[in-house]
Amino acid sequence: MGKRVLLVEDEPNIIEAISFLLSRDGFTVHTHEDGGTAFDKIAATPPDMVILDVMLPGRSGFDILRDVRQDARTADLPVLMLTARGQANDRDLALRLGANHFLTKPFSNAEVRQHVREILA
Amino acid sequence: MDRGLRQADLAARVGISASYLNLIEHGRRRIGGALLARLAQELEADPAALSRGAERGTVDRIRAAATEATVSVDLDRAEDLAARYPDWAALIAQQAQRIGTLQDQLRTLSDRMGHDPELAASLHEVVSSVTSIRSTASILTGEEPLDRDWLDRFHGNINVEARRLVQSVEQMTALLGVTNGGDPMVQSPRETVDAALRARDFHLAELEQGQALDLDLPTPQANALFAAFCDTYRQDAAALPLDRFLPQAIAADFDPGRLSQLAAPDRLMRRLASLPSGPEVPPLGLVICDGAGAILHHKPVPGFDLPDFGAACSLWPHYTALSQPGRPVACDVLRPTLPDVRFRATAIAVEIAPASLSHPPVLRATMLVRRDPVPSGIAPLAVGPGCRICPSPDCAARREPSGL
Repeated sequence: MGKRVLLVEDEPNIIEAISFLLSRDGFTVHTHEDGGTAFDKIAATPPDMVILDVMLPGRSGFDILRDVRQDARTADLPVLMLTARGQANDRDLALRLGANHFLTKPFSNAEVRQHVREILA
Repeated sequence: MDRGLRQADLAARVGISASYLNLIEHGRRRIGGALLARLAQELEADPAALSRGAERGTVDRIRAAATEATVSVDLDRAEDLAARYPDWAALIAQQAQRIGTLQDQLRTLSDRMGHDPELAASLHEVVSSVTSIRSTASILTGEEPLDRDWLDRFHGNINVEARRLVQSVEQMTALLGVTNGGDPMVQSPRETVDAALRARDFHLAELEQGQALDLDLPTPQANALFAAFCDTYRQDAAALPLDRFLPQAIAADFDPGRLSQLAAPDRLMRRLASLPSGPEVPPLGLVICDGAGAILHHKPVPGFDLPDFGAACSLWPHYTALSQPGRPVACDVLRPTLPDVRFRATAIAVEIAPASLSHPPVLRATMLVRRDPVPSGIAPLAVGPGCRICPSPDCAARREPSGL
C-alpha cells in the first residue's frame, strides 16, 4: 500500500483526474469534498500529505490549514495548496500559514505529480 | 440663455440635436464654418467670441492633462498652444480625455475582478472547468494507455466540463456587459447611468429648463435609476434655481459651508456638483454612498477617484461622516500619488429614513470634493485610492498588502 494522500477538493472532475494520476503513481488517494468537516477528517486519521483547495464549501482552505498547523497531531503534516485565484496575496498567505507548496489553477498534471513526489520522497 | 432661448429651441433652429449643442457649450466639440455662423446669427454674437469660448474648454482640458503628466510643462503656455495650434491642442485634449476614460474603465474592471462577488464566482467557475479539462485531456493524450472504461469516463468528463465552461463564459460575458460592437466597459445599471451623466458633464440642461429628459438607456434597471436621479435633480433645481444659485455659489467661492442657509447640506453639495462647467466653476466631484459604504453616485474630479466596488480607503471623509450622522466633516486631502495636489472634501451623512422599533435609521453620506482649493492652513489628511494600489507603507488603516 502506497503513501496516503488526502485530496480536499469539491470539483468532481478535478478529484477524478488527480486521484487517477496519483493512484497510477502508486499512492493511496482519499478524497473529501466538504470544507466544514475537512479538518476533523485530517485530524482523526492523519494522512502522509494533504492536497488542499482554497475555495471549498463550508470553510476556506486557509482556515483549514491554520487549524492543521495549530494542532499537535497535524502540525507537521505536509500540505500542497491549490487555488484558482493565483494572486500574490493568496500565495503569500498560504506560505505564511505554513503550506509546503502552492499551485495555481489551472495547473499541469506534471506539476502536481512532481510536488507530491518531492514531498513524499 | 441671455436671449431667452431654450437650448432645445436653439438647437432646432441651427439644425443640430440638443445633446450635440450641449457638448458644444461644454467645449467638448469644436465648431466652425457654417454651423458657427448659424449659431452666431441666432445668438446675435460675434463668431470669434463663440470660438474663444470653445477654445477655453480646450485650454482647461490640456492644463488638466499637464497636471496629471509625469513630464514637466509650462502651464502658462497652454493658451498660446491652443491659439497657435488649435488642432493639436484639441488632439491633446481629446487624447487626455480618452486616457482618463480608459483609466477609469481599467480601474472599474480591476475593482470588479477583485471585489465583485458575482464576477469572482463566475471566474472561479471558468478556472475550475479549465483545470478539469486540462488535467483530463493531459491524461487522455499521455503516453500510458488507458482501458476502455477510463477512456469513456474521461471523455464524458471533458464533455461535461466543456458545457459548463460555455455556460460560465456566457455568464461572465453577461456580467462584463460585453456585446458585439457595443461599449465593452459599461456594465451595471449604475455604471450605465454614470456614463450617461459623464457624457453630459453631470449637468442636465433640459431639467434646468423644466423639460423632460429620457435617454432610453440600454436596460430597464438603468432607466429606472436614471429616472430616480432626475427626480432628485429636478427637486434640487427647483429649490436652488440655476440663475440665482450660480451667482451665489460664485460669491461664496463654492464653499458649501458659506451657502448653508440656502438648503440642506446634501442638497447643497449635489447642486454644486451639478453646476455647468466653465471658467468660473472649479472642478467639483461628488460621492454619494449608503450606510454600508456602497457607492450610489460618483462624479469624479481629476486626480480624485475611488473604486466603485468596495476596497476604498477607509480614511475618506464620507466614511467618517457615516459614523457621526448629521455632523459635517471637512478636511483637506492629499493623495500619495499626487503629493502636489490638494483637495478639499466636505461630507455629511443624513437620515433618509428614520429609525423605528424594527430597524435602524437608513443613512446616506454625501461628499463634495474640490481640487486646488485655497489652502485652509490645516494639515491635510493623506487618503489613498485603496489598499491594493496605495503606496503608503505605514498607514494604520491598511487592511491588505499593496500590489505596488
